[in-house]
Amino acid sequence: MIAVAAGPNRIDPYVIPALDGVAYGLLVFVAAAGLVFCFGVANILNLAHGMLYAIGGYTAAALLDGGWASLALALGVGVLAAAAAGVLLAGLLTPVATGNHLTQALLTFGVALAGGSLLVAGFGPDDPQVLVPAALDGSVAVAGHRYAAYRLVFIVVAAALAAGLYLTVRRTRAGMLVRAAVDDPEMVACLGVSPTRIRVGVLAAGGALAGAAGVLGAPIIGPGADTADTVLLLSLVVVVLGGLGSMGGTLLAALAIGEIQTLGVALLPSAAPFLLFAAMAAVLAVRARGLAPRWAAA
Amino acid sequence: MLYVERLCAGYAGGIVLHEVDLRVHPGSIQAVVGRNGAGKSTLVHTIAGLVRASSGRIEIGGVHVAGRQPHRVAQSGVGLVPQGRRVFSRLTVAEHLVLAASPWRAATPGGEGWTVPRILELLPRLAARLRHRGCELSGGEQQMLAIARALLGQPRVLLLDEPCEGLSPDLAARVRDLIGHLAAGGLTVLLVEQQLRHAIEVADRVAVLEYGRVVYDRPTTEARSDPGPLEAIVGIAPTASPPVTRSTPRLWADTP
Repeated sequence: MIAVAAGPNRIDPYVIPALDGVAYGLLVFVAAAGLVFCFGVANILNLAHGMLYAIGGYTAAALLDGGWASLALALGVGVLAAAAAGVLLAGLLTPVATGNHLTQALLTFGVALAGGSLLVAGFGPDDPQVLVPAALDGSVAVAGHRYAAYRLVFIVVAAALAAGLYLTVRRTRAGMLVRAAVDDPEMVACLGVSPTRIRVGVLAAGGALAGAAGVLGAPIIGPGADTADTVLLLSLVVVVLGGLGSMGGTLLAALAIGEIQTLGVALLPSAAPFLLFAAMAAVLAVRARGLAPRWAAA
Repeated sequence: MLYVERLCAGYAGGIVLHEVDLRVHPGSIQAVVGRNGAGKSTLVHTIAGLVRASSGRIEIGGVHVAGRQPHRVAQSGVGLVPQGRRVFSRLTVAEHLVLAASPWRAATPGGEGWTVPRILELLPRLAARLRHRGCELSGGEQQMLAIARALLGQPRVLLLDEPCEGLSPDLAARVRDLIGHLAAGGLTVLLVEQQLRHAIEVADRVAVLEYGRVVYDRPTTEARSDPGPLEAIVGIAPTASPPVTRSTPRLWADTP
């Protein structure tokens, strides 16, 4: 009886970090999905992807006033602005779209630096405050703990976004094109589909997703001078761990990152500074192709 | 329908095709045979736009397509069944058919109106494998799927690069029957084939490529009655000299 009773007590302190890990992981998934497909489909290494998230974050900070209408407005504006930035990036990348990744990395890194500076110049160097809707500003009881209502709702919304993305990739013609292009872009072109259209579409959709993540995730990874770098770094880890063009692998990698960043740090606080990258190195040492399961290759 | 004139093309390492001339009429099958490295696949890839032509003309129904990108060539009415099939391993058979059913069908005048039901009637084996992924199909099924994928693009010209490669003799014969059936329906077919006898069996004309040059191009009726001269060209002594290597425009994929 004592052993049975002791089980929940040992787990109890980690319930909230584990839940936080799910929220963080789903945020990273929505933010990183665009980068993963951009790399996997269009073969473009977009180091300006973090900036697209930051656009959403700053939009949220500028427009949110604690009401639902402002959240809807911020979401619409943030998604559109980030998608437009994605299209702009696709245009800038046209001359190097079939070049090597170093050229693309240099170009997009330059865009990220310039874009980041413009955002800081426009919104100021201090991290702006983000006001969530008043109804979600409190906390709710979860397994005997208080947990931020906004984060709980975010988990539901982000899970719905992930499910929508999954269904889009699995069930729509656009999704089939994406999966086919990951497999053999030349044969997709031989079906009469322009590679440029696919590239622009993927960058716009990736931008929209990153913008949505930036608006909705602003209370979790808030806008600031380092936001773009943080999101880019996490997204690149997702690419390395999750594989290219694999929804299952991407989700698994993002959730793993979320748990490492929250639950892992709670369990091993002294290892917090390097836990994520130590875990990444360990995964790659054991499983070189990352976490992507074979069944999730599509 | 397919008109190739003085076509030169190649890769970064040098020119592979040297002033190739071919004329394939609607409803006829032009076979291209030759040894490994003769330039057969390069010819198909150049017509399909995967390799950029450095000079010469390629006309599809009177429209000059040389230099166009692959998706533009496909929209001009060219369907490709590539060597090795290259079906999408992540997509099911049903998804292949949905993806290949071309939304620009109306822009392809003279298209024969291939639909998914018509394809499944022609290739019933695919109907039984609709939920299977490309990587789960046998070689013959993959070949059928590659042909179905090309047909759903409503091509006027069908390029087949060694479609019987790796298939059992029975299955290869069925694929040749299918090609004959398609040509009888009015499709213009360019067939790259390793096996000379198979090419003679199905094609209306046969051309021999050697070191990227056409060294023989005659009706197959001649070869059927007396295959000796053709077999001598394909199988024994080279009749063209190896060309001097020249620089060439790079592949689309290499274009900066």
